[in-house]
Amino acid sequence: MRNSVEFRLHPNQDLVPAWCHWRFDMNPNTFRDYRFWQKVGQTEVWIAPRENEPFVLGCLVSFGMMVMRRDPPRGKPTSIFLQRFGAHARRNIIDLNRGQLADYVRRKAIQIEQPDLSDGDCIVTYGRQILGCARYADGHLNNAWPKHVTSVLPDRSPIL
Amino acid sequence: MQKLTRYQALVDDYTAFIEASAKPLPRVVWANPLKRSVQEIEADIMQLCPQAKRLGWTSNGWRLPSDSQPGRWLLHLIGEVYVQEEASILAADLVGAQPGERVLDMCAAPGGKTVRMAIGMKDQGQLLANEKKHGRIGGLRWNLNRLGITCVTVNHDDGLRLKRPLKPFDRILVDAPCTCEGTSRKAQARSQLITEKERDTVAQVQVALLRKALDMVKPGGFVVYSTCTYAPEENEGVLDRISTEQAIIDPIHVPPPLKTEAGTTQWGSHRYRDDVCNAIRLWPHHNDTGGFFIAKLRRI
Repeated sequence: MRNSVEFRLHPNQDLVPAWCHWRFDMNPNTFRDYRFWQKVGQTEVWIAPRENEPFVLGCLVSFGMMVMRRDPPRGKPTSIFLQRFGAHARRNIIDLNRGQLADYVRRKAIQIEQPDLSDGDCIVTYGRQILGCARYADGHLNNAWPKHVTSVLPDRSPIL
Repeated sequence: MQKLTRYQALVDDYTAFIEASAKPLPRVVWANPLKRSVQEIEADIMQLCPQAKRLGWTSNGWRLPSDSQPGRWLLHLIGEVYVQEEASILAADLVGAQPGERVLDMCAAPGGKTVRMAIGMKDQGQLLANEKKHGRIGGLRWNLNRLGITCVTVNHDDGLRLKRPLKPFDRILVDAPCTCEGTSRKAQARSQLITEKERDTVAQVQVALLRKALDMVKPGGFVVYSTCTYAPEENEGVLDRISTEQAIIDPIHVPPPLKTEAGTTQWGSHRYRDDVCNAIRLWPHHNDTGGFFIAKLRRI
């Protein structure tokens, strides 16, 4: 049996919305129906609908969705968080073409020539699909997806 | 297929039933509207698999050939589609979970019905996904993360040991552990015969889980009980052990063109409570699905 985890409200509910506004030009109102939580004894930041409280009917494993493993600016957003909320972003977005997508899912570094980007965490998209978060630095984009995640994809050039 | 011979008296066309049970299942996918519009995702599905056909009974579900591999699509990896057995989708939809409600999925892993219910709730409300087996929690969380669900709390405990909540649930799904005879069309299906002792043991757990669920749902609230087995001992027999003063079994509106059969009130020497006929049975040869049993109980 696992040990039950505990969550408490994040003391600064504006921290993640402000950081997302700074980095991605996301309207902070995007998160008005949510609250941010911390895992007790850990640095992780989680998000759940505003009205929700953790149920404690047994051994609690998780509550909502993980946003970052530590507070911003040191923490990087999880891909699952950006896949869900990244449609509201207007800055630091990298839209891949088909060839770049093939390299991206194989975790190859991709050279990007896009003058409006600043080094740091970016939202990677393929058309209207949000692939997640990746680190952009010195003109290169590095996919941080774990190998086991991409290993299920076919060897041939992936589509969609 | 030897283990299915005992159901000859229950099924309308035994030959068709046996033939269908030996065929591989078609794949079914549905679109995640939390990520993109269903219409956009549908266009991508059709591009990836032009043979995909929309299910007749729901606007969000497509049937693919049994040899297709949607689990290897990028669409799947980023949580825009979910692969799920058609009968399992129906069970989750029949819970009827609404935005803002408090809902419990008592035996949640790997989470297909949990995520389908969360989508029905528009990711608003409180959905508790409980799983007894530690090794299955990872798969449950992976699916929740992939689909971008925020309204789910994951709990690891024996469903029978859950504490009673201060505020009861509006709806509960008990997708009970069972002997899985209805999964014979899946590649990893079990082929051994099931002993009577094994069936009795499973049925005792099922009854206990269902009673526990009825104890945790509000008066007037719903408990959906489902299994993927044909055995009346694990289906109607379990419902029969619930007091008629505790819950009634409501009729289920089956969306057309799905064909189902009513729960049986008689099995061998057993005569079950009359309202078990409101439960439904899905046979593989009727809709080209797996075998399933679903009942909707309303707590008095």
